[in-house]
Amino acid sequence: MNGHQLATALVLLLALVAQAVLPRLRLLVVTTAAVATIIASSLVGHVSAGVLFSQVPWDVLVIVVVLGLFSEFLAESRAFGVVALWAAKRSGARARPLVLTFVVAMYLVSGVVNNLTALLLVLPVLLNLLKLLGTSQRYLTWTLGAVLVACNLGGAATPVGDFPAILLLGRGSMTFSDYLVRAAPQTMVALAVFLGVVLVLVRPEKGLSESPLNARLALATMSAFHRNVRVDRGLLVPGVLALAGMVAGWLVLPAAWVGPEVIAWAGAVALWWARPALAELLLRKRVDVEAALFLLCLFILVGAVRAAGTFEVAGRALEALPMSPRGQVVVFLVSAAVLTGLFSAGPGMAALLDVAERLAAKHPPAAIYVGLALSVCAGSSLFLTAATAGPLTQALTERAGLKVDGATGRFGFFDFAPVGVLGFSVILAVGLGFVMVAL
Amino acid sequence: MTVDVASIGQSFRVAASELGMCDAAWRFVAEIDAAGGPALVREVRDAHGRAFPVLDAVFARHLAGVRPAVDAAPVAALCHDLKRLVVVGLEAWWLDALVAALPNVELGVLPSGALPGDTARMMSNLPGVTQVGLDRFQRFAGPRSALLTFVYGASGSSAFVLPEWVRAQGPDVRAQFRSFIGWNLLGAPAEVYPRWLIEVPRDQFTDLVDA
Repeated sequence: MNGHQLATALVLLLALVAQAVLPRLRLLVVTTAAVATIIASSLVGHVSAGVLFSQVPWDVLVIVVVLGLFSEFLAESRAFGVVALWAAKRSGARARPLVLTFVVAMYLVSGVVNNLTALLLVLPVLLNLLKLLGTSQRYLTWTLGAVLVACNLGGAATPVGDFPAILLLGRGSMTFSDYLVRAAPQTMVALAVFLGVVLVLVRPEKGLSESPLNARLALATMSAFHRNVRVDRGLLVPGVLALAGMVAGWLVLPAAWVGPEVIAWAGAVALWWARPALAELLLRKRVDVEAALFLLCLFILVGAVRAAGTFEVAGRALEALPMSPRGQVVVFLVSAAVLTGLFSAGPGMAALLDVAERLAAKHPPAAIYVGLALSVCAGSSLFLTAATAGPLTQALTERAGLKVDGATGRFGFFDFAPVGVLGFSVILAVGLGFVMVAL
Repeated sequence: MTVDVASIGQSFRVAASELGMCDAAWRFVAEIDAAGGPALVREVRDAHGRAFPVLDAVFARHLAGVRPAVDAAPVAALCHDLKRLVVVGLEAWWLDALVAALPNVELGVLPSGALPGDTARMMSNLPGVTQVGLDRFQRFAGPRSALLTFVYGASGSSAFVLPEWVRAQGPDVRAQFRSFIGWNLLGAPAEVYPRWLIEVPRDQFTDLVDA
């Protein structure tokens, strides 16, 4: 590696470490690193700011913002509150069915809306239920942990659920249908195995004294909480129709003719016209601009590293490993999972996709890309800090002030660790299994 | 049946945060009675009555054979010519009945901050009703406006209300509203220390209606 390659890679690495260590300042960290990289590349590396900006996949950012609008629109319709109530009733507020129902519900919801919105919609209902039912620390930890892992799996199941898949779609690495038919079954298998281990071997409810009276009180209270809540069809119907139209467009229209970002943009405009004032308000006040800015900075950092030729060096190093091509893929996917665990999904995927493209040239591309998405999903589930969803769950749990055995219930880094290791292992193993079969 | 009496306090707090203490207590006592009869009602009252005096009073009334009365007609009769009404506090059963009884009155609700709940969900149960805070409720002021609050027991000279009421009907506000209505949900004052509540002179109310 020459000096330029080393310097850009070092800045990227330092930025990733700093944003992981200082999550509250992550936007400042990556913004600072991005501007420093632009200046340094222009002065020393002979790569102008214009070149770096031209490499930013703007289509991906468009899709991220558009899906954020859809998430807020569907959330505003109150449909998910009704779904959560249904989940509570369906489970009878009994410990084991409750875990199963909420994990499956979270998997389904996070496949449609982004992970943070899904958590904000479903978790308060679950925490209220746990407060009403009474819980143990063990049950609290495994229930919330399993829901978090399901959230990551749901996000990886569809091309619109989370950033890694959106990146694959936006960059044209995979089509909508190719990703969906491969990733959805894999995530379902991973979810089934994970749930099986949790419910059969771990048994979160062990030691929890379940009270039928508490279950009755919980269901009566939850029903009263939603006694007059009605789904706003004026929001839900246009939202679902526009989303269905987008999905149909992604499935049917050739990407070379109409790109996925154009379809997303058109879908957003259609939705906008359905409820102009509300959509404008949601876009201005509620859609997460931070995510787009964070990704933009990451793309610039990664672009500088790419322009310096570092990914080619990394790719060649991987190919030079003294092992079979299959072994090289395994090393890459395991490394991707661990790096995502350390640096979080966005940076992990943005940096690793370039290396994956080299592997995709030699192996079935779909297997490599979906394998990478599953590895990133596994990494996101490893530590509580590996994805933004983790700290959000922690914050919501602390805010709920749940009483457990006379103390306040916890859901911190070390509480989540056993759930995370299990989720990581299961998702990675399932992902690797599918890749090995496909190669 | 396994009964975790200790955890019912936390459950009640959650329920009361969005339904109101009186509403939650009546719902809880019905479920507890159905599950374990009067003995279990007494056990829960003994365990949590001191922490939640409204629960204590409701459970006592239930044990005495009283059942919740939700009749908004007397209050509606006082409000029939109003344009706007601000309700201080939230008791779901009674508020739902009031909303149905006053279709032509603009209603605002000032929820209590003592037990904060999901206000967005609370308000989505009350279509057409506006949520107001202590900083904005005077927008509803006028010669055909009134303030109403739920009263948790009253004696000959005093009444027990939520703390927000003290600010809402302060001397600077009294000239801005036509009437100050109390809706007494519990009859006599609570037998235990009125935690969460505040004692005010009964004559603060231009009208005090028993539920």
